[in-house]
Amino acid sequence: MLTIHQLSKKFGKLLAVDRVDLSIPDGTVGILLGPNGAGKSTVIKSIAGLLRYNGSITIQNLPSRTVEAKKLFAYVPEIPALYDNLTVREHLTFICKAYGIKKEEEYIEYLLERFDLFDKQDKLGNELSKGMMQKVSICCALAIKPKVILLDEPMVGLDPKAIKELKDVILELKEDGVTVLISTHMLEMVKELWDVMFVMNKGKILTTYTKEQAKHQDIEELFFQVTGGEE
Amino acid sequence: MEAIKYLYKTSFKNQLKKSVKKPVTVIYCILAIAYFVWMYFIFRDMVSDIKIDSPEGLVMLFSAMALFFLPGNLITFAKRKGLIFRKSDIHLLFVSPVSPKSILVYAYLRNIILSVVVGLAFIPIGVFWFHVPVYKMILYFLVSQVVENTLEISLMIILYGNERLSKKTLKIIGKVLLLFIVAIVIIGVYLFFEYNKSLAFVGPFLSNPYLQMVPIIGWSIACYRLLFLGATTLNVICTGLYLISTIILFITAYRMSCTGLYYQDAMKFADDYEEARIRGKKGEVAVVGGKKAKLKAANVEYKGYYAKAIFYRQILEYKKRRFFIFGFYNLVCLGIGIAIAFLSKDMEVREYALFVAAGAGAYCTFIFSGFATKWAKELENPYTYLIPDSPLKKLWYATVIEHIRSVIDGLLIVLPVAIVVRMNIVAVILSVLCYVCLQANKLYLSVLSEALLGNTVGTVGKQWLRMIGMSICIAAGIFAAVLFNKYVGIEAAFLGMIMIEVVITAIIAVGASILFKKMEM
Repeated sequence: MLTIHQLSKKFGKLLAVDRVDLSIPDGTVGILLGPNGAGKSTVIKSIAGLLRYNGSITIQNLPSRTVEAKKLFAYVPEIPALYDNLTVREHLTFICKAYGIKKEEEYIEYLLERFDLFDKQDKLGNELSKGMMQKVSICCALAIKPKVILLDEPMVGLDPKAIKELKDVILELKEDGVTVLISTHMLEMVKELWDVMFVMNKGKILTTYTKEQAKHQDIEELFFQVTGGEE
Repeated sequence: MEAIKYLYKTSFKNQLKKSVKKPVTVIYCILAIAYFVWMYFIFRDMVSDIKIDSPEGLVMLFSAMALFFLPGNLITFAKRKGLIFRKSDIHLLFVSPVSPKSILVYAYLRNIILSVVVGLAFIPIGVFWFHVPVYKMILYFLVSQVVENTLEISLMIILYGNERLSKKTLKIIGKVLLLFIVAIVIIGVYLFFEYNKSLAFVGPFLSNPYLQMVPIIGWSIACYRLLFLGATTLNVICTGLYLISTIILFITAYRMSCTGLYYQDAMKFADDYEEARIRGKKGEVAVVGGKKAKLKAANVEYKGYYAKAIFYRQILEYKKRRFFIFGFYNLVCLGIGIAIAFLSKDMEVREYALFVAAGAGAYCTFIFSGFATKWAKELENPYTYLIPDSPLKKLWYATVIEHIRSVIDGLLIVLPVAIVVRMNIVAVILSVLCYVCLQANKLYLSVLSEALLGNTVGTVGKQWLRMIGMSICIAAGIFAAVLFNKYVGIEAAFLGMIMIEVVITAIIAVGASILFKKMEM
């Protein structure tokens, strides 16, 4: 479960996020939508613990900055950045060590196979294409078997097979009771995934829809209704 | 900590493997070793010449380093700068359950290999230059690596990772440390004049007992004095205080709470560092966290199409800048011009004065030949290739402003010299022409290096090629001058030199445009 309560963030005089509240229960896929500059990235970076903020964020009811909470939390940033001098496999081994995961070899093999990285496992971080880096980033996030996962524009740069694989993984995570939050502009890509939608603009959450509330309304229609046509 | 150990060890191992595979590494290693051997002998003689080749001299050196380096480092820590985090650290390490304090230590330890190498290098330096017994140098190495690093890491955690002190307080700490450095410099300058403008003040100043009483920084100096010069009541007490303060600071740092609130600042620094690294790789001058130049609104009327559009776009870019096409480099040129003029005023062989300004220009061009040119930036722009015009025209219109700038810089270098040595107007024009040609060679050589080497040797390799190319251009001019001087006369030598430079420029420009055409394909 991911809970955000009265999250505010200022950059100098600019109020980037204004008293945001949101909660996503276990086994639910949330999507965070909004036009450019809406404050989505700030919310995401705050959840990931990369920014100082006012308010509170909890992961499985634990304050997000605690080591215990971080053990349950995985993050896939919009622009993946890997270590130049670690191979694909070494990245995964490193992540397992950082999260205290033991007997990880079998699961690493499984992830490498699933995301077509097995033959690239000895390639160094700086030898990979952007799409490959994104796949490694996703594998790193999955390797820790998280309870809460945050994906920021996860489909960008992925090939169609990897997109399909990622969608399947997200649905599997949901079935396993994992909380998923996806921030994206690619509405088409998350159509069949979402359970709850948060639409942000100008630092605030304008509205929240559950799939039941939306009934059979198209996701794009809902988005443009709320934002008044801003992309 | 296990994850950090793994990251550190594996990255180091892979980096080493990667370097060994590259043949260019061997060349760099040979060059580096040759450079250090050369430096070793140069400085050994210098140490002996200025009569500091004794343990006292070594203590002076370490004291000066302690006075500037430690407060300097602490200032950067207080500003939450100075530790290099990469974007991969933010992505993978900051969000992980690894303790934020361990992450700080990891960033600090990235430089530990350099610190160990420098520490080890000081052992023979201490023994052979300063005549210190080997065991004392080994002891120094251990103290510097264990005690100094423990102290600095502790202070780094306390300042960088602090979540109780406000930003304002940290700023004040930084300012106090800066004031300390400024005060040391002011005292140094004052004593320099007191001692009849000689460096004789350094010894008495650095061995001043009051200096050893300055907390931590002075105490570390006392520790060196105890180690190399023997015990006195003062240095024993201060060394004791140094060790006690190290232990206390270590315990404080260990117990201090740190949840990672520094990540935001570290992330900003990582972004700035990455940007500077990329710019540096391209050969641009890049300062980490340097303020971005403010651009004003401007417009330009495009009086032409195709390749000419590049020229007008550049004009528009320059118009947005505060000082149009003028910049810091103009001041550098003026400074060099004035300095050369000052040195030329007592020149014994005035007939060679003609060559002074041209020589200064050539020197400037050579020194700065490694830096990226405006043309190098144009080469990164896909539109430079896509614009439907001939390569020669593109080359010309993309570099014409640079030639105008070269004329200005050339005048700034030549005019002060011309006034002092009373050069005639023709000589001034020819000297400026020589400088413009050399600058043009530099521009066109960047195309040649890009087209010939591509990505085979990296930026440094291309910079070397440009420098070698510039050396050949300059040497050809000198050779022509010597030849003409021998068989015709001094004026002909000057004219011959300029003519050769003009011809070389024309050849390189044509060659560059042909290669540029190939690059387009």
